[in-house]
Amino acid sequence: MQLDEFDHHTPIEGTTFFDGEMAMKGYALNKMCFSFNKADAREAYLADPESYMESFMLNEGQKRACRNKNVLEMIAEGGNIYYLAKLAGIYKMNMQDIGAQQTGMSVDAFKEKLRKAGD
Amino acid sequence: MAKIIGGLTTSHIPAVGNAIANEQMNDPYWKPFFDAYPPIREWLDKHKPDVAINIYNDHGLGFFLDQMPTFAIGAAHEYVNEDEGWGIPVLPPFKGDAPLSWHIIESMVEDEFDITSCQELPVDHGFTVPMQLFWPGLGANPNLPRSIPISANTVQHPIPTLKRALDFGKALGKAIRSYPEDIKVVILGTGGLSHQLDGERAGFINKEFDQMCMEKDRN
Repeated sequence: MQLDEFDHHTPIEGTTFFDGEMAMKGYALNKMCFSFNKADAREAYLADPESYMESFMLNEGQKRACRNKNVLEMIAEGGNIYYLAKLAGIYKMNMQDIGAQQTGMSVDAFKEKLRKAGD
Repeated sequence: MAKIIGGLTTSHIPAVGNAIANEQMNDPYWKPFFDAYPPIREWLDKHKPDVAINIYNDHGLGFFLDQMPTFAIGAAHEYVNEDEGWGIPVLPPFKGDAPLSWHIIESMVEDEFDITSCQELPVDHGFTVPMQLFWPGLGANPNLPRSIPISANTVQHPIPTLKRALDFGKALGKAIRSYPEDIKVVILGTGGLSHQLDGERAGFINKEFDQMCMEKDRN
């Protein structure tokens, strides 16, 4: 099925619309991340990430992005930022850390960018 | 009859929940943010609303992408907060007002809004952070009102149009004002204005746009 005809979005610079197309693409990855609401799931992932990813049937690209702990790659593989935040949390990363990684800035520089936007 | 005494809006980012948990309210980074709240708390302590209708969006605690309601209304006697995965402390349950919830649901569907009703709905930081900001201490605060969560989908496109959101608010106001009990209701609108969490331009904030939104909200 050709999905282009369903693309109703006006592009916004530097972001990915999480729409039906991305929701289909990222379902397995997001479902795994949703499981991380539970502490035992977080421990199981840390103990053996490969088996845990396999049990949620992640594809190779999604597994690679998780191995690389790379948020931009995860988004390209259909990850939704609110669910990816739960995976990042396993590594004690918060939204400021995630923002810094995506923009290639230090966390302090990223926080300063947020603060300055209010000046 | 029920009376709407006002509307309050605030950010609900989890970092605020962490700052409260770690008592960082007076840190230089956080102080300007927290300093905005005392006048609102004074107003709330003076007027003592019985119920807070808390409009937020769930971020993957109450709902997963398997079933994603566009507008969901809590219809429970109590709402629990649960582990969200990244370490924000879990808070005690919030008392609901199920009879008012069902009155609102009946009225909204009568007005042709197709509501998802939730007799169980774990509430995440989108709901809990504003409650903490407006009623510090939560259960220990004698003025903490009963609350009703309303989650609007902003997680997965298509999200409701702004016209639909405005019409939803008008129908909600009508629903509340037609409730026969003599109660005072406050409406909370929570979340960010210009907001970019993901991608190469993460953290982008459009101040001019935000100020225009706040100005239009006020009027």
